[in-house]
Amino acid sequence: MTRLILIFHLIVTSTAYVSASEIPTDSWPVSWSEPAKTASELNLTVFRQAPSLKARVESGELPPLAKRLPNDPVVLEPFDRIGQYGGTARVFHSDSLWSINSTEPFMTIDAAAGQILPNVVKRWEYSDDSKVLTMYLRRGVKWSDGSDLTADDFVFLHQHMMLNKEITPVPYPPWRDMKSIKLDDYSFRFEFEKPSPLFINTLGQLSDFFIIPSRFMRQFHADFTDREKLIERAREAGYISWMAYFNSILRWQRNDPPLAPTISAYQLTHKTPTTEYYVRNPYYWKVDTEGNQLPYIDAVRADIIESAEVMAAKAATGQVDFAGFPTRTQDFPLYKLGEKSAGITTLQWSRMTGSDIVIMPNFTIEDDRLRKLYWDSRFRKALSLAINRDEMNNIIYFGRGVPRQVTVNPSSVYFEPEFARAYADYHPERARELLTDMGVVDLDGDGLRNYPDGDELVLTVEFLDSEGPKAISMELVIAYWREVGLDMRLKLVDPALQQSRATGNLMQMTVWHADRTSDILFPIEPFWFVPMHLGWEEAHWNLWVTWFRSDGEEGEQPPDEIIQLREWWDEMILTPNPARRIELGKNILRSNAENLWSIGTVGLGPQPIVVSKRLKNVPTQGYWGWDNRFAMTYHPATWYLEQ
Amino acid sequence: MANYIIRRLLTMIPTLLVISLVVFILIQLPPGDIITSTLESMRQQGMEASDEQIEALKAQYNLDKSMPMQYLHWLFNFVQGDMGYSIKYQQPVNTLIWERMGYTVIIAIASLLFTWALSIPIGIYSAVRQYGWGDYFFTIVGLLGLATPNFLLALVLMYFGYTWFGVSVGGLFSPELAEAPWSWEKFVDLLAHLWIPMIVIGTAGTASIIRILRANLLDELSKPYVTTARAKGVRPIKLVFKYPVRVAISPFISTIGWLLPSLISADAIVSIVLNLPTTGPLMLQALLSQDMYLAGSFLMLLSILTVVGMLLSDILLAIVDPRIRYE
Repeated sequence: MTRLILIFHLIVTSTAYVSASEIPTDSWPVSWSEPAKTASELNLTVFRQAPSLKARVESGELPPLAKRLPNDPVVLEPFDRIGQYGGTARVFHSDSLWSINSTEPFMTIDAAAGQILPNVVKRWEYSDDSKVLTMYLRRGVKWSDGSDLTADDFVFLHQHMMLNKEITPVPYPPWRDMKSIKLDDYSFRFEFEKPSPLFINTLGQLSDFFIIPSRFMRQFHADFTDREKLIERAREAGYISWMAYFNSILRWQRNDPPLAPTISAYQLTHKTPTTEYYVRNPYYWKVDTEGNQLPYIDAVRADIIESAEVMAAKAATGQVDFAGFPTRTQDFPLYKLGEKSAGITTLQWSRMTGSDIVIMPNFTIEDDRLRKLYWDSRFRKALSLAINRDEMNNIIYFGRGVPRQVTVNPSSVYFEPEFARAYADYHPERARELLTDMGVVDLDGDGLRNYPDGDELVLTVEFLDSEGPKAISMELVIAYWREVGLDMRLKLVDPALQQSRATGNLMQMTVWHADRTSDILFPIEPFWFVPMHLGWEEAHWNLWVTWFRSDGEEGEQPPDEIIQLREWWDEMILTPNPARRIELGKNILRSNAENLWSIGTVGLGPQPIVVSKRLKNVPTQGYWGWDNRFAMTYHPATWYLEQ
Repeated sequence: MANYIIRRLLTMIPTLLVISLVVFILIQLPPGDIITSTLESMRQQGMEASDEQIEALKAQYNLDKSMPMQYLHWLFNFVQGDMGYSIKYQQPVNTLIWERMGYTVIIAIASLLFTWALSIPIGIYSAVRQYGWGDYFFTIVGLLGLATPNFLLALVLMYFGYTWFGVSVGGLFSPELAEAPWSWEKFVDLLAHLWIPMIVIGTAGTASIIRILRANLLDELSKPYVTTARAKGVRPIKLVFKYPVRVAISPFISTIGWLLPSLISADAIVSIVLNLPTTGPLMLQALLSQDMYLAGSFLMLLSILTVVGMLLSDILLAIVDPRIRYE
């Protein structure tokens, strides 16, 4: 049976190689790839609301719908059909944060995850030098407490949080060096020190964190209220400082109100140690194509579960309506069983990771002998050529991933097929030759290669096993590298340790997943390709990053190829010329393909999305990843529960 | 007796002081502290932190003070009932622990009663019918219970719970009732969920109690007074329960003291698998992420409860067993 499945997978592989990477744009409504239309553009004049809200209006608890919606609400086209109101969706905690609640940044991203579209910011203009970004808001959007969304809410983060010495003790770029100016209630401006033509990518991908319900939050901010009394209130509520109290209200970290209002589809009402409860936002500012106010679903209940096995069991037995964040590639067979017994549907969305594994040798490790190996491109090429990516693809991904090197996704304008093919073939013989050429040979006859001076050579890879099949992939890599005579050991670490050891330049080698390989994030955050970032994802070239950041004062001077990479990127984020930007981006990727600063395995893999029998309107295909904020671009407010 | 209790209470103070010092040192030992985790969450919000910022953050949480000062600060607050502030959860430790305490107590007591209800009769039976088939059978079952990892048993029971009884996997309530006010229906629902953790946590302890009781009782049964009583024709049931069992049971009284710390530590792994709102998983998380105050407060509470529990056991023993007297 297993063999049959394997053969089946092998047949599928050949087609998956092409299809897994790019989803045809006709998989979604056309309107999902364009700026959202408004009611007046579609001649919608009659609006309806959920029965549960109607009752609250009749009892006088809520103003009528016309007073709650903006004059000209945004229209979202449902994936399949107009939904039914009602029900409570059951999800896991991580999906309440990342999937089922609508994510509402300044701007948003299209369904194919390639361009920035308007959202609450209806229109924006850059000055000719890309130093001034002027933005215009939709009028009449309201917070879930009924107050108006205005330009104040868009400059509050910068003026009163990023520049507030108590909330942000040390301000950092770009916030430190920019200005934010409110022009009137519905328009505002960001002025940057340097040209920032790509700042809208940050705004499209991340800026839901930047919109602050300023009127509400002023009650908890020391600049706007009696300082002594505020500190007293924070102490009474058990907080260490007013800033902690402020943040915890704003970011919904508390169990009970006060909790900040939202412009998303659902508002957190309270939490227990095991469950979070959300209810619909009666002021949500989007409607469907027939004028029904969204969202369709009344409430969301999110279980806080720590065990991955329990989540898999619950999802497979149909006990949640949607699971996307905690589902694991290797659990596909379990979910498929659930399709028969529990009536769930397992969709295959495409992960937006250029490779699920990025193996990063630490070029600035203290150990000189290791450095010497890592710096030799023959060594890195040998590590890559020794990996049997087709076999990994069959074993872990059921043949549905794409064996490739770490590079951008095929849908990217920066992509060239040769970048993905670079040293990605399986050539153990060639790998052995390269290692022998370097003088890394087996001197003591134990079958494993030694340092040229005769000492045992052991590569230790420390990593955090979350998001994607990391541990299971690395176990295969152990076997492949041993095949060419290299001894590698794995060490699992917890998040805090990953953070401190990675940023502390203490790891010999680590592993992360190559997200940020789409056109949204690659240009602004080329983590794997250019030394520009320090974080838990990387133990790659910390001292080089420090050198660039401190203008050569600290850290270590990198080799010329690296300086070149950084120069290209510095120009890339400043240039307003798209053609030049693509050229520079390709230079960076070409150099990476030639030099192999990091090593990839299999990318663009399938992400299991488990949907219950009763949840409708979930697109059958979609991109899944940090770059497009998981489900944001597939409009979960239009999903509904069949009653 | 009163004198003895006061003496014991006084000696507890230096013991706990030493423990607090050890706890504080232990939680400081592993590399990387909560600040790095905090920075990690900032990273998720797309922000990068500089060295100065890290220092400023440390200042906010008193982490820039010298170790002895940090220790004194922590200890002083703890004595006053303020267990500190969890950086990971951004909440006072008191709140975090108390909101989980109710269910932790319910589960601990239910599983203890289960353990006793199962192991005491079996222990007595095994001793009275030593080397009978029943003795062998229960010994094997008990040892199996001891040897099976709790979390595995939990997973298996959860599977059967769902496929046979339709009880949702994990948790203490059905989702529909979790938020409902207390009612008969909700109580029944709690019972329907409680049996899984009760059995899982309870079985682990049965084997050892069966063996202890069996051994103690066997010792007693071979004593001359039992032989005499039997020779005088005392009914077998009365014979066993009147004296030997009462003597053999004293080890339980000394284990009542262990109950107190287990209220806090619960069974962390089982609670994680079963998704129970108890303090166990919270403590594990606190230790993993080195949330200093939370972890420290937990370890300190555990120590205090252990010390107090031992005292309680000793006092109870003295009351129950007239042979024990403290002068």
